Amino acid sequence: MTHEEDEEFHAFVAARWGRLLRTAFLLTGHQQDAEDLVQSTLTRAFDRWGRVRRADDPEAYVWRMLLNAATDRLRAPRRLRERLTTHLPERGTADHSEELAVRDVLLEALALLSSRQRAVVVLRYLEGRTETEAALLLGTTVGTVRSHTARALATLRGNPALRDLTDQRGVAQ
Amino acid sequence: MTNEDRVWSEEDVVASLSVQLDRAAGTLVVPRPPVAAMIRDGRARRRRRRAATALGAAVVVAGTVPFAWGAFHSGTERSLQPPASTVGEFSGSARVVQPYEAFDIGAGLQMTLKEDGYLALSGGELPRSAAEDTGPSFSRPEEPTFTYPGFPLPHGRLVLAGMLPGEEMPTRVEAEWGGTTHAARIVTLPGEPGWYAIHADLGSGDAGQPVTITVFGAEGEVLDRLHSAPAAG
Repeated sequence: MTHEEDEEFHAFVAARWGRLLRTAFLLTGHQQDAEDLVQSTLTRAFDRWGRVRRADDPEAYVWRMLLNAATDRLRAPRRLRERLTTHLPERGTADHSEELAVRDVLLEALALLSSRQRAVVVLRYLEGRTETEAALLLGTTVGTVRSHTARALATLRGNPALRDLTDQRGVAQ
Repeated sequence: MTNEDRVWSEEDVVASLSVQLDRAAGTLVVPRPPVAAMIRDGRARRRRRRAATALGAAVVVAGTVPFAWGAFHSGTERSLQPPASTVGEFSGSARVVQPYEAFDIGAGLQMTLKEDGYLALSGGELPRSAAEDTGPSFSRPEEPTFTYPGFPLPHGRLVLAGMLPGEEMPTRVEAEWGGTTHAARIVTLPGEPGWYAIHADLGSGDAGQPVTITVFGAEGEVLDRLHSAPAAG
């Protein structure tokens, strides 16, 4: 790997880090898990940087790596883990309590979805991806994306906490 | 009107989701990307991957060497017996050889190392020109000694010969094959080339059995463990 390629990777990460992290956060439900997921994905991307660069769409290639890793992670048995961290966990304050309440309700609702349903919801409604784009990133068909979407929305509609949240805040927030 | 009375349509859910997902994602504390750590760890992954790939190639090549060597030498019984020195206490320090110096690795084979990380195998003294012609890291079976295919050996013989990257020189390398653990010999060039070669005559066995290489550090810790399924010779 040359210095030039190091810089190329650096620029790639700098331009996408925040967006990847936001998506990973909603896929995993935890800040530290999201950081782990994105960091491990990008580390593997650097390992295979030649292949990433040669891909028709390098960004889509890395997104697929992230989504596959997230799916694998959600399928793995849950286990308690200790972590070393350079920053303390965030603490809710009065100013942010409402946002954190929204977040908690939403994350709990998303946790009831399958890993694929969750990925579809995040791609479609956070990322604003089309069904075709979501299908390409997930390596599946548009029909399957529609099916996952329909089932996910049905589950979310039946979630009273999420519904209460929407009613309290108004749909057009 | 209660929540139960009000119809919460799919459109309501979709409209709400985009807003709420964005709000939830907005609570995330975005730290600076640890790019240096990712590059460092990515390089380490690449080194391990290439070492595993190269090791696989080495085992395949070495696995075919005694096959052809036996053919060249009419498959005598002597050629099929592993030298007693191949299973033993190769621990402590690496053997340091000079570039282009051919040394025995068992089964009548010789190994030669070059400064730029090339390794060559031969059935005899390896000419300097031949060493220069060998491919990266591992010998190609281009020498006449190694290019007599099709002679059926009664036993699959396997000689491990590979090269591993590593700034830290291991104190011990073990190769487990078919339930038997063999001590592999560590060889390197003077100075700190950043890599080292290993070799071990694993004797005869089922060529389809995987080989597990375990590399130990100064404190007895495992520095690396590699697996390879050798091809039949």
